[in-house]
Amino acid sequence: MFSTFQRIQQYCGFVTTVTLFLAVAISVSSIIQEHYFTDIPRISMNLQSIDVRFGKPHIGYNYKRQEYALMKFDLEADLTPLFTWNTKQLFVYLAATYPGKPYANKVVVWDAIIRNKEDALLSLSDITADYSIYDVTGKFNGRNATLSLEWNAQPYVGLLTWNKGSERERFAFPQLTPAR
Amino acid sequence: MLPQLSGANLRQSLTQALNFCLVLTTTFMFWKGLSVVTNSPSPIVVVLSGSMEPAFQRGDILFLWNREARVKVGDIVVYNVKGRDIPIVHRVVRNHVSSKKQLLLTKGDNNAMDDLDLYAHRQYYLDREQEVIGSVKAYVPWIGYVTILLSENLWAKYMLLAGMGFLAVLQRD
Repeated sequence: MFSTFQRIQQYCGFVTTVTLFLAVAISVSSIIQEHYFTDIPRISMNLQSIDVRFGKPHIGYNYKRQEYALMKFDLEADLTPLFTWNTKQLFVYLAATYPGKPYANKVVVWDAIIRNKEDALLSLSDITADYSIYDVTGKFNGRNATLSLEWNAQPYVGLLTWNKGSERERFAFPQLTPAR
Repeated sequence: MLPQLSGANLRQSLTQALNFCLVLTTTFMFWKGLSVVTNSPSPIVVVLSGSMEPAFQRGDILFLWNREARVKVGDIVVYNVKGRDIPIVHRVVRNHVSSKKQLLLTKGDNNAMDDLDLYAHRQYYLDREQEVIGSVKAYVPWIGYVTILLSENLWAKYMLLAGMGFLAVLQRD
């Protein structure tokens, strides 16, 4: 009952159980805090320009020549309420949603990783989108689209959560500029 | 130290062997049961590469859920390109949904480019039904590092086996 081996075994078992309970307690408490006790972040965005061109959207042999859209926008967001003590990072991204036949489409045009609360106050103006939009069909045909800001909160331990801001910026894809 | 093959000792040894098998099969059942509940062939994965840093480091454990018919942009998914056996954990950055299927483009947070080069030749999108084995819902840091050590470091494997053998011998006395 009291051999060294059994003591080590009991100790390890106890440590494991306590760690498990701690992890569960941390995850549950931070989920409750995120859900019920955080304010809604203030967001404002503005699409400055959108340009549709024809060619390879990115350098690389895998990209087909097709219509692609480049965007420039302003973004102001106060994401500090989203940081709890269990938030490891916030992956923020700006996504454009547009319809089509047969596919409904959603594309991320810009993303950022925020690792602490101090960096969570975004104030960006006139930035170019990281990624260009290109469609499955290769053409836009002047469709309407919506921009929205969304985020994924990654905890130190526990469940990941996804959410989005309520502000939307609507725009339409311009027709391809015919000059080559 | 070897079991004496008299009546009572034999039964004791057999009982011990049976208990050991029971532990193995219960673990296996638990794993397969979890696979059924989550609808994923591999419901718990260990992060092997640094392509999703700073979110996931090597050795983190991810819990997957595969019952969503459609995943969303921003979700982190684990997928196997058809014909390859390496599961990749990356984030969905593009999404084209029809009533019949969902096409996805993924990208690792820590990679400069999206995953187009990782897909098969002339494949421009992933198929959610066929290639995605789950989306990440929960996360525990570091614990999986033991499995990485064991699989990549032969020395660690021998140490573990030697340690287990030593403990088994010790317990007999």
